Amino acid sequence: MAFKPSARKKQDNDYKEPDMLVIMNLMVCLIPLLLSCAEFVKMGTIEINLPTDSGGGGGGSSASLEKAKKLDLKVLITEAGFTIQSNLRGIEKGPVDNATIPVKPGSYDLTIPGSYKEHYPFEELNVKLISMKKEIEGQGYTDESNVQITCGNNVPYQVLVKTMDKVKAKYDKNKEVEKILFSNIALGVTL
Amino acid sequence: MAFQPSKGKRHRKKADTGVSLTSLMDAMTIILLFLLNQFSADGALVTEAEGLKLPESLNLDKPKAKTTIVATTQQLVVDNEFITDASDYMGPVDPQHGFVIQKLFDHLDARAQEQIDLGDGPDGEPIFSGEILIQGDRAMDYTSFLKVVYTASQAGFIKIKLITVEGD
Repeated sequence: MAFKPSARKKQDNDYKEPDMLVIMNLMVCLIPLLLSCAEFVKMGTIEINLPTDSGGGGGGSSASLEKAKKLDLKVLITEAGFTIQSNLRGIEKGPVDNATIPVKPGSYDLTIPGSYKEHYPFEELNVKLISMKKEIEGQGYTDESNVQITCGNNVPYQVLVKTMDKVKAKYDKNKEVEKILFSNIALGVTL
Repeated sequence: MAFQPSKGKRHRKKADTGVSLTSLMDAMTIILLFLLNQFSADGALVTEAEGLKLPESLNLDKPKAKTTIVATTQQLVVDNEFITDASDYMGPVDPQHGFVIQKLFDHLDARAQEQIDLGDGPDGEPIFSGEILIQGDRAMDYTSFLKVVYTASQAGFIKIKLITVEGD
């Protein structure tokens, strides 16, 4: 005859939590480590090209140089606005201070987010450059992706970077391959 | 009359009354997964320098750690090493030195020479790539910015990348 099951054994069936202290220690180390590596503000880069030395002779024959069709696009940023110059349209002078696209009246403060964007008409610049790009496409310009940006001495760096954004913007988004306006940016100097 | 206390209860082990860590573990696991998701395994990334407000941009090619010039409106720093203060490079062009910031040039030139002397790396590529990152303050004027760029290029760093933060 089998023995009766022990009454005491039944009493030990209490639920026991696994010991998580070791894992917790690991977590406490891992979280600060990952927090220090986490990227909360996304950073990016803009590549710039240095102005090439246009002086001096040499190189190909004069006939081939004559044949090279150059756009020579330049965007000048001043306190008056944007001035665009190219071999296609020359210097496009506007009614105010000769700027092609004049700034909006008033002043801006870089400490106020977005105030410079209201002052400088970046969207109008973008529209102008898109129309120019469409006009020169397929015309055989050897430097159709190049642009030189020059600023007035007191123009803030932020305005330059935003202009680079607009100059490098994508357009013709309906097509499968997105096209970039002017991908090779060089910086110019005003003397 | 009161009942006699149960003999079984007397022998029952007292339950462990320690703090329950299960819910804390759940929270920690969620945080850990979130951070692992955020963590980039693309290699060492660039961190924003103190006292600097980077300009906003839409172009977000990820920066890789390289020699970095930090140009704030107070000082010029190369890889956490103080080079000179703002009076040396902010403002109009110095007719004597032109666009060159002498202290910065000396530092970068020595650094470039060191890297050139090291020759090729294990991958067969030259250690000196001529690449440099510039973290400029958004309020810095164009002339001062151009001086930094020009000086870096004169020292042999011709692949210049500007660091920005994401913003519309």
